[in-house]
This record gives sequence, C-alpha cells and structure tokens, in this order.
Amino acid sequence: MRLILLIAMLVAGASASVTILDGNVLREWAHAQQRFFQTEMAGAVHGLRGGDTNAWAILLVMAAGYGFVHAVGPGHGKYLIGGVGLGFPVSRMRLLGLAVISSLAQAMVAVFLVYGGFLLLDITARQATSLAENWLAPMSYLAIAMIGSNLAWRGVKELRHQRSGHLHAHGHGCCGHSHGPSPDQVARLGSLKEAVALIGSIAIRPCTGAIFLLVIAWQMDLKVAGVVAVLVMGLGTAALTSIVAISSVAARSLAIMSARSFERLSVVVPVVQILMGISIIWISLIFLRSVIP
Amino acid sequence: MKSIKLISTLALLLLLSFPRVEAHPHVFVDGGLSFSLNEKVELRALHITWLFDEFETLYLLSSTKIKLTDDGKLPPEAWDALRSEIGTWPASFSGSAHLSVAGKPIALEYPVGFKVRMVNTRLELTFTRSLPQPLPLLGIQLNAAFYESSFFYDFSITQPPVFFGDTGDCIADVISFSPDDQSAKVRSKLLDLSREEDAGIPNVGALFADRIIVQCG
Repeated sequence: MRLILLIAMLVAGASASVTILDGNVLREWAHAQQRFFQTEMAGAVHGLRGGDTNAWAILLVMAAGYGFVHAVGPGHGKYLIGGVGLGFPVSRMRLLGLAVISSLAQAMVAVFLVYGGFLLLDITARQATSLAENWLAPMSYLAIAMIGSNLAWRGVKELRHQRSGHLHAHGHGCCGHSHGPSPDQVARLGSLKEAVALIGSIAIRPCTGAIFLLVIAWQMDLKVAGVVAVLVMGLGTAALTSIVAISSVAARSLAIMSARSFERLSVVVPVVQILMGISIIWISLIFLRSVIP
Repeated sequence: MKSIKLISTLALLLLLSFPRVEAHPHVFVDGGLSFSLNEKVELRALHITWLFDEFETLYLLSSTKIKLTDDGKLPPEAWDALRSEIGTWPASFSGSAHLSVAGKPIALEYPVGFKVRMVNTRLELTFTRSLPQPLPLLGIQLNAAFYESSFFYDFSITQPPVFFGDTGDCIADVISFSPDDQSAKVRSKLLDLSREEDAGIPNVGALFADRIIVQCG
C-alpha cells in the first residue's frame, strides 16, 4: 500500500509540475512578457543600427528574458530534463550541467543553421525556418522518445534483474535487495554517450525566436551581436531548465529519502524509472503529433 | 517483415491518435476590422488591417531583403517582395477575419487591394474581402472574430471599427479577450444569441479572439 502511495506521489508530483508549468496564469504571464521582450529586442536592433552604445546591454538583457519566458511555453527541453531528474539517479550538478549545455548547444544550432545556411548554401530565411520546424523538430521529438524508451527499458531490466536476484538470494539465505541506486547505475546515466544523446535531442531543434533574431542580425549587418544575443538567449532558456533540473532532482531525493525504510524500495526505483521513461515518450509523441499535418 | 509492417502501422496509428499541441504565438498582430454597407444596410465588404509587431516587422523586412528609404518608408517595390511572405494564401485561409451569424459562418471572397506601409517602426498591411452576397444586417447580430486558427499569430483588435456607406444606426461593440472577464462578456452577449453561436468556436485561436458584435436597427 505504501509502495503504491509513494509511486502515486511521484507521478502526481510530476503531473503537477507539468500542469503548473503550463497553467493558464503562467502561460498568460509568459505570453505578455514574450511580446515585451520581442519589442524591446527590436528597439535594441534599431538602436544598434543607429549607433546607440546602450543598445548592446538592452539587447542582451532582453534576449535573456526572451529565452526564459519562451522556455516557460510548451518547450521540449524542460520535459526531458525534468523527467530524467525525477525518474533517474543523476546528481544535481550533472543534470544542471546538461541543462545549461543543451540550451547553449540549441543556440549554436540556430547560429549554424541560419549563418551557415546563408553563407554556404544560400538558403532563404523561410527555408531556414521551414527546416527547423518541418525536419529538425520531428527529429528532436523522435530522439527524445528514443531516450525515454531507453530509460524505461533500463527500469524494466532492473526489475527483471532484481526478480532473478531475489529468487537467487532466497536460495542462498541472503537478502538480495538493492536499497537504492548503485554508483554504477549513477555513472551509467551520466556516461558521455548518454549525455551527448540528451544534449543532442534538445539542441537539434532550435528556437524559432533565435532563428528570427539571427535572420534580422544577418540582414542588418549586426552578425556578431546576433550570435552573442542568441547565446545569451540560450542562457535565459538554461535558467528555466535549470530550475526544472534542480526541482526534479530535489523531488526525487525527497521521495527516496522518505522511503528509505520501505521494504520494497528496490522495486520503487525501477518502477518510477519506467513511469518517467513512458512519460517522456508520451510527451515527445504529443509534440511529434503536433508537427504532423 | 510482416511484424515490422504491423508494428509500424500500429505506431503510426498510435501517433496520430495523440492530441495536437498548438504553437504558442511568435507573432503579434494588432489591427482591426471595418465594414462597408450599402443603402439597404447590407454588409458588402470587410476591410482588414494588420499591424505587425516590431520584431516581426524586422524579420519580414530582413527575410525579404527590403531596405527602408532614408525617411523610414517602404520602397515602391516592397509589396512585390512581401507578397510571397504575407500575401500568398491558400483559398481556404480565413485572413484572420471570421464572420458568423447565429453560429453560421459567412463566406468571404479572396482578399484584394493589398496595401503596405510603415507606421513608425511597424509594418501595416491592409486588404479587403467582399461578401459573395450582400448580408442584410437589420435585426441580426453579426459576430466578427479577429484571429488565426493555430494561434501562431496572436491578433488583437486595437483600432475601433468603422462603418462606411449608409450605416443607419448600426453599432459595433469590441469585446477584447481577457482571461478574467472575457467569458463573462461573451456569455452576456451569447444570452441574446442562439445556442449554436457558442458551439461555433472551432479551434484554439478562436478561444483567445478579440471580437466585434455588430447590431443594426
């Protein structure tokens, strides 16, 4: 009964986080702020063109603000970061690092797409936006779904392993229970290969606002300002995903700590992993569906 | 091989069964609607104004490589360059104006008379959509909603509606979207309308739309 209660608590916590993040009040706030930051960024671009030295600072502050409030919307990164933090044994600093690097990498993908496309392939602004929305976005959602599948499958394997270990242990008069993630499990989640997969799945889909700003910067001969502003925009996005990262790891730690005395903790951990893996798959498929006509 | 096909089909069906997430708006468009009436107090045409936000204006000008004149105006050839970005629509595109009477949509013809100009640092687009048949306005309530269905563009009515022609004693009430009190205002208006009017909201953009209620006579 307590086992079911704990799982229900974690699932309810995850659902509540998603609900709160996309709640009406927050959405309305982000919506209003997004317009404010967009307008101020446009004003700063005019200022830079006119030689106003203060415009640099205004552009960077507004770009950071835009990145933050834009990430409050139905972005894909925070769901993956939050799901991983809630469901899997990963340290706070490691997840924080992944959140920041993935946001910066996402900004860099926008730079390569727009500047690289203009410089090397002579593509139009519409083609750059279309590439991001019609190709890179579905690829990103598929990649996130695959990561969710991998994480869920790992939970399934852990359960099966414990089941066989449990039976084996009884045969030898030993406990056979695992009371929490082993160092090996933690290391596995944080391996370079998995970190790259997580960062890549988020970064491959650049933010449309970043693409727009880069198109403007390119055409108005403000190329360096465009790159710097988009990187700062990425840091703004990272601020939001970092909050999600810290909160999710804290929520998981709290739940695990309160369940230390539970006899079946070894079952709770992989079951939560499976549920979080399925949640990540579910959300990524919803996003994927939204880009299919 | 058979099982791969089966799994692929099932996966596609599962995917298509998921709800769609609509994009949060990237583009903000202010503007409004005005109404051309004939001497019988019938609606002949709708005049639509889009005033793009400052950021979108810069993007549209940059993506079409338009350079403003020294006094900040559009060059004469601007519309030719902008046509592919904002003036080429499929026949089914509503043009952000959605007319209905008692929940029944009123058809509009393809837009004509496109004009663009700069209003300070913002790009303004105006165009006209005629009605295939003049619509008698006496004794009815005309609902004119200003929105784009996917909500990628967030339209707001910021210009008061104007009547052209023989307007009689027609009045137009603007009902702005507000998360707190729009429902109350719409509800009070809907009390005078048929039940179908409420059910005529087909998509997410409509849920956040500014509206104009026109009444004549």
